[in-house]
Amino acid sequence: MHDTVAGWFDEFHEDLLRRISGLRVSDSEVGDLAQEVFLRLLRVSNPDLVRHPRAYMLRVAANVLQEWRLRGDRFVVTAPAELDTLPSNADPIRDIDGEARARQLNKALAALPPMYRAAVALRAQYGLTVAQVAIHLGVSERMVKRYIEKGYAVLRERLAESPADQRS
Amino acid sequence: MSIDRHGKMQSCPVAEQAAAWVVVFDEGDSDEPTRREFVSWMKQSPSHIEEFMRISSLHLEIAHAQEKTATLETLIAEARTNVVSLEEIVSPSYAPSKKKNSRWTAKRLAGAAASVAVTAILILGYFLSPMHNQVYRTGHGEQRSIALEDGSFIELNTSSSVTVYFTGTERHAILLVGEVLFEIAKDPSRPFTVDAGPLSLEVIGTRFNVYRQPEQTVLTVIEGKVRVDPVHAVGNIAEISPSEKNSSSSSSIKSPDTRTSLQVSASEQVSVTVSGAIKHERQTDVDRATAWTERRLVFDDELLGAVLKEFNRYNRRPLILEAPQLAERRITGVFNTRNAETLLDFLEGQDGVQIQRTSEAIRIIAP
Repeated sequence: MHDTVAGWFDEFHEDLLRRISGLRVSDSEVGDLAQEVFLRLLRVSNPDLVRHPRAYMLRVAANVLQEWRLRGDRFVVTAPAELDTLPSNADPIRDIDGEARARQLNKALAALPPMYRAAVALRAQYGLTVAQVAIHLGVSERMVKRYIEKGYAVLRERLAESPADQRS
Repeated sequence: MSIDRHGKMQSCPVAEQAAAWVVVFDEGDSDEPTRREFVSWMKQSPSHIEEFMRISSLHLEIAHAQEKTATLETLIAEARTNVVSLEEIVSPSYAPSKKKNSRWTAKRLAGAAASVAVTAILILGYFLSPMHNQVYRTGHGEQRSIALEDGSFIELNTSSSVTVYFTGTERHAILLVGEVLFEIAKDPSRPFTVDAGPLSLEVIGTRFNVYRQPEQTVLTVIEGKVRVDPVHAVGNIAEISPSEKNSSSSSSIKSPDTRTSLQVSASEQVSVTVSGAIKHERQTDVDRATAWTERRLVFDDELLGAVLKEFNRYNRRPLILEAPQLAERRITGVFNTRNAETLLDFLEGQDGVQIQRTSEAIRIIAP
């Protein structure tokens, strides 16, 4: 049971994040979305008791997106997409600008100092645990975490600054 | 990205906190205090939620990138040789402190001295680390035999990389890529564990071969017993006994409850795919699995494509099949890893098949 729920959440999580990072939700909307999720979280009496807080938060975000879409005051340009049907990861609309995005991401990754790049890539792309990454890089687990955290924060900033990020 | 004068990368603290949460959730199940802390962090500000969403999605993008940033080898090698050079990297983008004039103030000198000290500590820490680990690797076509400090031996096949480390209480190896024959010296007080992608195992002392491929890892036990803990096991275990080999439909399926760990004895083989499917073969040809240590390739009714692929692991000039009528051809025989001529002679003898040799490749073509 637990596995199924967690698995579903994971899949859902990816789907939602793809929408957030993709065409469906624009950059300014992510801010609005976060604002709305925040307000709703405050209204819930005991959110700390939630078993999967990350999934819970994303579920709330998905609901907000759904409501916006139903109201029709956003997503005017986008094709109607069913948030609850969890389509496959393949998304043709996303793929069009996916290439440019991938190039940009690669460039940003390449610009990271080698330790940061290695920590991020070994964890995310090669699926090594933090402990395994630590062994390979000859540093402590705490340092590996720091490299990843800092690496992501820097990448995030880098990608936001980059002009190629603007979508038509 | 910006990097200040002292070589430190600057980034937004909220983004870093969000990234820390992404790392926490990515590592696995979180306990209750951690979850409470996460919720209270989210409730502090909408910007926390926004950063968490953005960094989660960045993490996914990197994880699912079509092309990996670099090979494991390169990433590790660059990181390990560049421990010091973090300080040297200068970014052209903005850095608030850069605008100030460049007179050497006492404060700045102190900062520089501190950064030198930090670097020195980093380097010292690296060499004094109690976890003494060593990376062994082989190139294309290369094989290597290594005696480890505990009396064990490992033998690396072509294009392989393994990291080995010992502490007072454990012996551990991570097979990053390729194939290694382990001959582990008995030491009940220090079990030897191996991580090889989807498959992890633990032994006290024994001989076994592990071959990690991109899509699966195969373990063949030659002597003794090996305990296997499939890392990402999701499915049932397909049990294949000798009589029902080649007829997978009749193989028995174990329930997922028994998959937590698996005892594998001599002449048995276990393969685990990256998606978590496990196959446990009760009777396997051990000699075939270790023939590579004697530069032999043993094929028993193998598809030609697979045979060529196997040869190509050892030779720089690849064999390429461009004669579709041979695709279903099955090969049985013993060959030398470095000499495909016997096989090529045999293929050339077939109707309508020619061998075309260039300096780059050997093509098997149908003219």
